[in-house]
Amino acid sequence: MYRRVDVAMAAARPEKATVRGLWVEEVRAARDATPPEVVPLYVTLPGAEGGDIQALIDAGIIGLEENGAIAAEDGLRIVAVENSPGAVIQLQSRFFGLKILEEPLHSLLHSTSPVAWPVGEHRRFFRGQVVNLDLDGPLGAEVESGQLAFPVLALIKKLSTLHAQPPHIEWSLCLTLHGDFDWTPEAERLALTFLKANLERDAAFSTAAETALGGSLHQALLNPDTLSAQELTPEDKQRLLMVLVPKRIAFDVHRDGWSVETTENIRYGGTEHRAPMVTWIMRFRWDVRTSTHPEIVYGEALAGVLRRCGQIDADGNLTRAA
Amino acid sequence: MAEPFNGEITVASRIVDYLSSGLYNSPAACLKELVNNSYDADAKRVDVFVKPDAARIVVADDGVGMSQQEFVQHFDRISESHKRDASQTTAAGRLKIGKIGIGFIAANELCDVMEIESTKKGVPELIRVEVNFREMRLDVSERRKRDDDTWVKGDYEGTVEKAGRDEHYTQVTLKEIRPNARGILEGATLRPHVSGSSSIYGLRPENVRKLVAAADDWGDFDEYSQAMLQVGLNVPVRYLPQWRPASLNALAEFEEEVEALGFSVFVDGSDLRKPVVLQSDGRQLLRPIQIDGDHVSARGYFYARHGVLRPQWLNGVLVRIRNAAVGDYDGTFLNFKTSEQTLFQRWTTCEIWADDRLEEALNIDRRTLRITHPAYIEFQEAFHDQLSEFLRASRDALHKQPAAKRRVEEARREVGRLSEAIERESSSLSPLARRELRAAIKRRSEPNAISSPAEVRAVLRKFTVTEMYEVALEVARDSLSASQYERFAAALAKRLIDD
Repeated sequence: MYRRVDVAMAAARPEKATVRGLWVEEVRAARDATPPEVVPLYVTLPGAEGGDIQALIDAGIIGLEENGAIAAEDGLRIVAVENSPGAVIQLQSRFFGLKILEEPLHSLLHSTSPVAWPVGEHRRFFRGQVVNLDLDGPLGAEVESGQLAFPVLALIKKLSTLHAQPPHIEWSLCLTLHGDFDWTPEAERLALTFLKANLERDAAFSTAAETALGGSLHQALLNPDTLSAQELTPEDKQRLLMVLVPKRIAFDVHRDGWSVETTENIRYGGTEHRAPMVTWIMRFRWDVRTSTHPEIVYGEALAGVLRRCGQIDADGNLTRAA
Repeated sequence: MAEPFNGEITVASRIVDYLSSGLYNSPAACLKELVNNSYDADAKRVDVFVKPDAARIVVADDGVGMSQQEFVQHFDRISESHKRDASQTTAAGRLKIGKIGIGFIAANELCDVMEIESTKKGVPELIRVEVNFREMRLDVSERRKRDDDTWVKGDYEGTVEKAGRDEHYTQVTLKEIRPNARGILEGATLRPHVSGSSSIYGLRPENVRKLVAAADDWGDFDEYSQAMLQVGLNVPVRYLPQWRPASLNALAEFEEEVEALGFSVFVDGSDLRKPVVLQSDGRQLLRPIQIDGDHVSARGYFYARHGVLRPQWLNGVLVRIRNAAVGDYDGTFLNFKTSEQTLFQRWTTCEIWADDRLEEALNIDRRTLRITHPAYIEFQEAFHDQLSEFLRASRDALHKQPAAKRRVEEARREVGRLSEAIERESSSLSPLARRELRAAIKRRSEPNAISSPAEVRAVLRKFTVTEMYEVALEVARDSLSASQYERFAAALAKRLIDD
């Protein structure tokens, strides 16, 4: 599906190092917040290099045995999902004792099917406290029966449903996508219409979006008939995704018990032959109000979507938006 | 006139299940088959990945690999191995362990699905094959129909891709591990009567050595470690560091021979070694084994130490043929008489490397030998002769001689105590009597004065009360007046009875 991740992960770029640093802190916070018997702590698509796993080891969050193998007590606290046989053997040779699920993510989650779900240990493994979907691919969009669907976001909704099963597990999502998209005209129209409706519905969100997007893009989104998303600059495409993706995720899960806090909403790359990327960290907190006042929970989530926007430059420096 | 007819006997692939369940009694027995296959492929390094939960097991080697043609040749017909068609040795000169072509079916005991990926140097193809044991186990009427109503065409299915000409490796991935095997290999469950808490996971050889040296038996380890150590015992890997007392230089040749094979197995990153540690408090005996018969020859060593051998799994004889062990240590010493030197049998371990002629006696389970085979009969007899001699030597060197030495020391201590007693009493004696007394014991109290068995016996003599009474009265009668003798006899009788 998105298996060019190896190449990107292998490159020890400063931007990526900064992003990994954010992931590490998220995992550390999750570890500190819960007793160690809650497993797994971290579910990831690490690629052959496993840069994020190495970062967790370097930070002392994952322990090692004297031969360099993952510490026995941490063996099932970290779960890697990797489908490429070559990458699997590399990972296994690099991190002895690492739990690897050797199937595509969408296959393990039984795709977006609402009736087929992971069972047994797969169900357990996907209820990790931090799930890192470093997809290194664009946000695909499909139109089915006039409805706009984003397969990746549907998988995330599925993950949130798994975490919501009793006993529910509060969790964090680290999501990274290409800051580009290649939607059909119909998908693009529906996406822009969706954004316009939300900008018009919530004044606070619209104001925040205007800051994040810039005045001209904001205005253009309010008049989507005159806008061609494909013709946006790479930077504006990143910005558009920064608004769309966390908003859509918060919307998708707010009736399932989750209040979503977007703690990182960051773009990087897009210059000097580096792919434009967008990355988010979102915390899913169990909120009983979702059964009685879901709109309040959603409104709060929406208000926070653009609160922690930022950009990482080629040297790895993170600058927060004003 | 009768019409002749003939045919070829074929068997269904279900035979794989029947065979494997009868041949392999543990996950370790299955894994060592796969590792030995890597050895036969001239691998220098094999990586076995099991942890954290044995949900899948990978055996990856850097051996010569297989082409599609070779794969088909090896797998198409069970027990028709072509491994030794051209030569008894590999290209690197190793004596090939595999012989009858059933090693791969060991995987059936571990998993439902086996995947093989291999490429061979000089052959620009990479083969990927899936062998579905679950299908093979089904009744003919049930098998081969998939959920989507298509049919499985063969017992294995594979693809051939392009690969670099310089690459060479084989990777066997066992998937859908069978529950019992997984339970053992993940080693996570503690079964009080089967497994302990020691684990070799993540350890370097020097620390594995410490655990092995401290162990009583397999049960001290978790089941993962037990399985891996048993694999290490069987396959041609090196010994643990400091596995023998430094003084036993005669064992260096065996150590060097196995090192020269250049074969390493890493289990979850840990360098697997033979779990053999010969411990000693200095009281030890090492003797070579040399058998040169008409039907078999072999060499090895006997080792005994004072006291029951630890770890106990070393107690017995381990036979190796072509550097692979035949089962585990045989605690019966190939059915040696249990009544002969029973105590010293428990102090003894031995390893023997037998020549190829004993391989003819090897049963297909590779852990037992055919007891009616001439090579085995000769081997057993010669071994028992040498064992019998070694046990006698053990008794002399580790038991009798030390016991005699201890008795001499005890006798000297007794003489010392006697001297002290005389000194205590001497103040009440006349100078003349004192001199006579001292002179009487002086000869015995000098260093090394007591050394002969007769002298030791004399000093350590034990007296009954009656004997003591009689000796004292005899001395008193010779040296006291009649009235003194009567008083002495009465007082002595009273003392002996009252005390």
